[in-house]
Amino acid sequence: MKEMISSKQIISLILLFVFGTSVVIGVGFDAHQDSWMSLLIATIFSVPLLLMYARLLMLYPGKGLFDIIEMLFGKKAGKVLIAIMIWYYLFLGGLVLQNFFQFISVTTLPKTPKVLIMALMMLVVIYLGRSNISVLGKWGIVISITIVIVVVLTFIFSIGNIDINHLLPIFEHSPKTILKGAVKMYVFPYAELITILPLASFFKKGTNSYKIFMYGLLLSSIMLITIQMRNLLTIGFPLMEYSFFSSYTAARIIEVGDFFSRIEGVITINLLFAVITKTAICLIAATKGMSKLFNIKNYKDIIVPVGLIILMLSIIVYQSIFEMEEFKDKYVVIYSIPFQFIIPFIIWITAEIKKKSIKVTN
Amino acid sequence: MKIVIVLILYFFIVVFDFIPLVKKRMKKEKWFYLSTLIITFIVIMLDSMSIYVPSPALLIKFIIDSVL
Repeated sequence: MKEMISSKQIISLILLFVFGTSVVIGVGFDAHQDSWMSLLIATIFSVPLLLMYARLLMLYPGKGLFDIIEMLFGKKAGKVLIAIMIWYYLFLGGLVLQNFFQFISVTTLPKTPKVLIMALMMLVVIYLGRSNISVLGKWGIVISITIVIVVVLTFIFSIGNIDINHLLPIFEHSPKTILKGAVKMYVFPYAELITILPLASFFKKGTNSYKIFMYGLLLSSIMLITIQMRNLLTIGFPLMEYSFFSSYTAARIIEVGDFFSRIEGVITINLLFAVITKTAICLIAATKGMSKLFNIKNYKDIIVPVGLIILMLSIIVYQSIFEMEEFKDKYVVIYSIPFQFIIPFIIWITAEIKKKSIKVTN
Repeated sequence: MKIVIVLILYFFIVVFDFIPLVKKRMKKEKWFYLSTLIITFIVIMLDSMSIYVPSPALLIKFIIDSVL
């Protein structure tokens, strides 16, 4: 029986993917108290990009990104493109895992060896990736509901700490600064949704990719804006800028009465779930690519070695949290452009031309 | 401690995943698995022994810095 995943499950996975590490490590904070505008702009910018991704999937229903690449570019050129995209997914998986380790080592487990935390995480991810894809889908539904409840509750509990002055003065920053933040948020996490494309071969027949991406974008943007506003309104921009993990800091100061406090552990659990999901999606995407590249029939046979590559990359990618911050601030945008925009754009244009030429010949 | 963790991890992977795959006589899968297993083991082991392994992020930074 072919493995399938429903539209609702894909939307929940998109939500978790976007939520992933971006919420806790925070991105695009260049415009300080105006950063919510950056987030709104990034969401609007993401619409055409995600429509392009969706269009690509609609042109070849039932096919994943790697099947489409091979159909369009043939075996040789196709394999080069597939290898490039595999690198992106592997490295992204490594970055996500490394971000999680940095968070855990700073907040909870400072003396636990890196390799132990990451290996345990990777084993869970491999288990999830090796299970039937519907398991990942069901996991996505359960975890996204849990995360939404936690975000809503932490927002409600934070109401007592809200200071509206943290949002003032509005438009203090130049449009250029706001746009700079928007571009960072656009690249990380929205454009990273290119990772969902290889999973398209698991979509149920008749799945509307436009709807999936648009609903996914809408829900995840609402979540991100809620979190951004909670953090901004409670801890304000100076603390947000200096704290590596703003959501965690915002949750630390929550106190309801004299009996309900120290709920930042919930944020850790949220991140744990989202990281497992995001890494599992990266792992499945990379493994599907590897199986295409090496003509391996069942991608699940090589999911463990591909998981080990991600584990290896996550261990060696950064030596400290400062390296992570430097890479995130200075290099991630430029590094991501070819994988998130240029290659998908080339694939999409080629797909449109081929489809039109087929129509003309018919 | 780190070295022991890595050894245990790879021991379990070999026993419970790699050997059953070898028994299935899948050539391509076997060679891919074996080469990945060796490379990742060496790199993770070096890192566990606190021997510096250059990060691919350094290469990315170098390329971006030299292009821009």
